[in-house]
Amino acid sequence: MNELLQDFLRDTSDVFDSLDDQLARFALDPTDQRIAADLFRLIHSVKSAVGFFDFARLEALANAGEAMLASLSSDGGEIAGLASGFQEICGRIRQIVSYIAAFGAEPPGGDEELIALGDAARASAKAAAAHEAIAHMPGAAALRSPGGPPPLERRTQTQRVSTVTLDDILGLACELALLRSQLTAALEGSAGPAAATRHMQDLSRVAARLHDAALKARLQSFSRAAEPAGRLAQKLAPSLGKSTELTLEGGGLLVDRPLFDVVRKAVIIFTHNALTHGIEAPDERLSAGKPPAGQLRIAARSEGGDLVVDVSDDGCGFAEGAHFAAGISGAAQAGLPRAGLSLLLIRSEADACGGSLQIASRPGRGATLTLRLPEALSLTQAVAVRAGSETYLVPKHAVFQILSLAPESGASADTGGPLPILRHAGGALPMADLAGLLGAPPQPTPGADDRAALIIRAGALGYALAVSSVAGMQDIIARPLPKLPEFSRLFSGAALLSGGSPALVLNPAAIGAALGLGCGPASPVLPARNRAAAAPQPRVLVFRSCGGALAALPLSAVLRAERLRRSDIFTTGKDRLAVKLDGKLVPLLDSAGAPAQLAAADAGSWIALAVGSQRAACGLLVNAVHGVEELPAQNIAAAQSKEACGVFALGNESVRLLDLGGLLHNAALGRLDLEDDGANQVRVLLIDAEAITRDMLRLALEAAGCAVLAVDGLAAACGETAPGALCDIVVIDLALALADDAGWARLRGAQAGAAAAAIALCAFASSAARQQARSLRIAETAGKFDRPALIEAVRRQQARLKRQAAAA
Amino acid sequence: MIRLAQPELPPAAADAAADAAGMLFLGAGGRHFALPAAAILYVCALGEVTRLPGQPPEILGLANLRGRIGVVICLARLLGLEPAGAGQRHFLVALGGGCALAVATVGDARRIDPLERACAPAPQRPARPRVFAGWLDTALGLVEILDPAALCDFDTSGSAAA
Repeated sequence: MNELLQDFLRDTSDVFDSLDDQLARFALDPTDQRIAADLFRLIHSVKSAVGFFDFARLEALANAGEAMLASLSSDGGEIAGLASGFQEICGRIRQIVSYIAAFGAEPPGGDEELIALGDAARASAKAAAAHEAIAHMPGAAALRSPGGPPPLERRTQTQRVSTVTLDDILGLACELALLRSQLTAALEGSAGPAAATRHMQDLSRVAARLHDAALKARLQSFSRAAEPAGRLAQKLAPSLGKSTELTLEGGGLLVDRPLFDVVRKAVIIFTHNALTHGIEAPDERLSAGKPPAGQLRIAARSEGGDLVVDVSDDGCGFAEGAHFAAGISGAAQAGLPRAGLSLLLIRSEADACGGSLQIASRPGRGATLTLRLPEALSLTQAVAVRAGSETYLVPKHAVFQILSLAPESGASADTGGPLPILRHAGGALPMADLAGLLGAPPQPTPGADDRAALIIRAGALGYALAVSSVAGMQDIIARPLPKLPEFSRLFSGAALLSGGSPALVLNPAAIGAALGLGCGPASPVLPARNRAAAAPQPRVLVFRSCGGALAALPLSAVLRAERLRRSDIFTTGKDRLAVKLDGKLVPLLDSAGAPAQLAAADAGSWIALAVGSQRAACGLLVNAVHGVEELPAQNIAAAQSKEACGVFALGNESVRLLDLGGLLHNAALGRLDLEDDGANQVRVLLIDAEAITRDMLRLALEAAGCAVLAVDGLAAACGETAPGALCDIVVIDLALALADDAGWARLRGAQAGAAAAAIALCAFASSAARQQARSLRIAETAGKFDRPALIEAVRRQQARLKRQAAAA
Repeated sequence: MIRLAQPELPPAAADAAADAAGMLFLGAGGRHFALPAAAILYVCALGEVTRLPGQPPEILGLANLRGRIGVVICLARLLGLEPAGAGQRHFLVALGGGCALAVATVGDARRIDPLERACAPAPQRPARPRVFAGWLDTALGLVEILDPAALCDFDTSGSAAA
């Protein structure tokens, strides 16, 4: 039995599992239009799937069932008879599906009587007689015969896992058992607590790897989700007299199990729509000046924590406003007014997952269907935060930085305007107070020093989220929210915390949209205060970038603007440009945050803005200064580029509001470049148990000019090759050092005497964390998400090492 | 005759009782209700509930229903009755579909004589047309039978079963 058929049987079985309850309720109350609509969608999805196979009986029955429900909604009909007839049809479909599962083909016989009786029920509603007659029909009897296949049992979801992955999991499970035995022996014997601690650390590491391996087993490649669509294109296009070239992009992207079925179904339906209604016949295409073969592109990408799937074609497109309610216009023209129903089905499934379905059409040139689903629906890491007395989870991939809001931290919240602003290092970001946004009850004992702001990056959005405190990071398995009376996009799901209580997982993009930064509708739970118009708006300096587009920065962040001569611009050893600010060289960037480039044609006409603060600054090369404007209160839309945190209109032009934090972050990396002479590269040993943290920080440190060796534990750092002895600076997860202080002492002993430096990593550099670090003789602490702070700490330690070396 | 148990009924006993076919009697908002026992997964003491922002007041929040995350509905609020205080909602009645009811008391579970089903279906109330499936004629008077499917059926326009 081929894979497509297996998928069909599994999906149909799932559909009927969900039909059971609806059918029972439909029988009790056939007047309920909502149940009828649900049933219609379900039977329509079966009908759509049947179209891929030569199952004539199933197709006829699905058509009959759909027609029955359609007549129920259109003319009211004889309701009881229709309900009964529909149930019989569903029962027959189920029996045939069971037969196909067992024998790979439809059973012999026909269903004309059933379909005719259904028609009769629609017409004159001889409900009771029809029901009785149906029960005694020969076709039904044959299907119920003792030799027939057993009915399909209720299925659990299944998926393929490679034997390599299974072997990995088994190997790790064995290793775990072995470590447990060693730990028990150490605790019962005389090896002492140091040995037990070491075994405990190993146990934790293997448990984490087992967890990762189990999670990876849930992942499937996108190419597998797109396979049925490829086969469909091969089969359907010739039968329609069309020629199609299919392109698949992002096939290697891994999709988690809860999303896989939605993605697979969506790709099939989108492809079916494109082949049936979008792509024209070769003659028609040639007359429209297009190549005879239609182009169909299926692409997947990961964007801002979302899985985004595009299916686009270069067909006829469709008229605006015809997407869901009335079906795609191309379908309507073809006499298929219900083509939009499949899209409705996908849209409702995407909605249920906290995602969205968007349609873009260029009449005569093609259409693109974009499915966006939050990846955080599965296993992920999250930052647990407190808002008032409640705990929420923020997906880790969306957290760019965590800042303390303690008075001495330098970050401050400006709540005077209609939208609170976080000011930090000369930059400003729109800010949401999570407790206020969600109406969380206040904390019993508020701790002002614990307040923090998470800098959130969600797609093109950037904003700050103020929280009462940061509780730390957790591995979570996020689940979709149960069905609720009020749907809220602010949450992408829920997960059980380590204590067993549920916590809501925030949807960073939806929160940004609720703040008015995105394109989505504001949530009803957003307090009116944030939407109200009010007094003075922040002012921005608008300028024309070197690319010609208008851009803006908060006026308060612009230190000065001056016209430069070539002699004012310095070129460093790595061909990076820099300008002098208060006697120091600072990197010169363009408005995209990249190192600036000088065009010879512009000689003598450069204008540089010095932006930032005295502590962190950079130069920004611009074409011309446009003027100072007031930032609009309401109409800031999401930017389409990473370097901007919003877009607003000025006259007939759009102005990108640049992300100052991003610019300064790039500048911080650039400053290290300026100082690095290439001959004295600092060697950093990075110790963290989490692969994602190691990768993230290694990239940042390498970009800052460090040579980085990343290992997953103290044992690896103190191993046979003893990399710890060769490094200048150790950057270690504080929890690892605390768990194995003996190992930490060994590593410190192996380093080059007292000269070696250390920096402790923690989720959030609180005063408690600093105290714990000091107890291990680690002078510096940095948050795992606060990459600029980590790089600053590395620079300080590097400078200290240089001073020590000079003194020696 | 029906005897309503006191709120102090231990959860374990309630669990066992709910296993019996028939009806489980509940108390909420100072009134008694019957719920088909077949629809009940288990009964336990009401534990920690995570608030769900933006939901109507009858939605108390999310709870850990033996490893699954489910919605907890305050039965009294759902029915427009005066709810007991937070400390007086003693029991969680877990239903299928990731849904559970918070109630003040859990009484007996017992098989119902068909003669006791006095007048089904129940009179339809405009605000909650589908929550009640019928009446039971008991020593305490008419007890409304709750429809478990309708209790957990939320539409997007408002409250459960509205």
